[in-house]
Amino acid sequence: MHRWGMVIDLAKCTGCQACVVACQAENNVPSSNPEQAELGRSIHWMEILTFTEHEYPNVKIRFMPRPCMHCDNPPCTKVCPVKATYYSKEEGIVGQVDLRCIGCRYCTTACPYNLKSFNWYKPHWPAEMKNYLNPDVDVRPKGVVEKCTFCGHRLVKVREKAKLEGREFNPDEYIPACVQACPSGVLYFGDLADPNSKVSELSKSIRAFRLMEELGTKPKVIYLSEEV
Amino acid sequence: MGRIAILVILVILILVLAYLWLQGSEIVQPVQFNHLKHTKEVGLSCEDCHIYFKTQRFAGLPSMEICAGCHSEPQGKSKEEAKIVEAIKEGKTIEWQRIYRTKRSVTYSHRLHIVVGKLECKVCHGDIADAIRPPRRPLVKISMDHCRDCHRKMKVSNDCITCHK
Repeated sequence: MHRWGMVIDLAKCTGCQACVVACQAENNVPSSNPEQAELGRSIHWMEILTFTEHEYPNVKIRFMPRPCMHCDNPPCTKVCPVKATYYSKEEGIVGQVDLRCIGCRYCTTACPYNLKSFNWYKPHWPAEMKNYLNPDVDVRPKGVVEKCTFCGHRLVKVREKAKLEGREFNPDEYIPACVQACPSGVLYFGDLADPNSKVSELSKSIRAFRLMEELGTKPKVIYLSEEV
Repeated sequence: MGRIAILVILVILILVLAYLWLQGSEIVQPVQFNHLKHTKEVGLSCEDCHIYFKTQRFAGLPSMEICAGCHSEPQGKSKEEAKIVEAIKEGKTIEWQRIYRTKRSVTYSHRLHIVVGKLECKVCHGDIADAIRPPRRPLVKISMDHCRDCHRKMKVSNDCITCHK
């Protein structure tokens, strides 16, 4: 039994968007255009939220990377009528199987973090990018919901590799694309069920907080605030 | 009388459509390949022609080089063999048709199932090694229940993430 989780150190984030780009490329997230974005219909599994404080010239912008929270008590899975989104007891990941999704959007409404995206349009990429889609991740059709899966396909792949090499799977091998791409070391990833892991240690930090903890969703994405 | 006539016509129409639909879903190979001859008489193993199933996710359909290993000259008098010999001589490729296809969101690795899971080919492919002519549809109908039952028996994870990408 694992409980995969992420720790995000907000003090280090420069808002460079490397995690966003890595995620879009890794997970075949379709590109959007200004009209779709205006309607709030562009898809982001990983997004950098910005908070602007004060006014020019003393402006301060705070950045907050926001993947799926992979709650231990997810509201989205409870409302899904077809079990297209489910809580994996083995991995602690909130999965999403697009082949099952009927597009009712109950889950997008139930998610308090507003991070689930509905495919309003047929997925579209610029022509030169079409040969660069990741074969390990399915391309979601129009009419289904999608979201961050903590790059679950990477977990399957490293498990497969360990089995073929006849050895035990090492949790450090499993790294989502955003964590791998971050140049500032903002994102930490690991098993929260292991008390000795880096993420478990960081989650006990005095700076640690979770988004909307009061709702009882028990998110497995833990933020470290900029100041104590 | 009129009603009965309409009913009969409808039933016939449905039967014809069903027949056409079944015909349409059948896969016809360009050459009537005899598996039994190759496995029993020649003594080839699956791996001799489907060369990738122990090393890759896919098993692979045989390339013309593999056929040419034996059939650059006719080995018998079969008309079907003559098609292969001719294709080799003319440098053409025989377009073998795939019978098994996974759904787009399913990931499957031959290597993992054969090397680690120690499954035999016939678990999913049936008695294809004994087939005299190519089957027109899968000999074993694979459904998600089929996969899940086996995973349960073999004590392998049945989490959606294991197979769905």
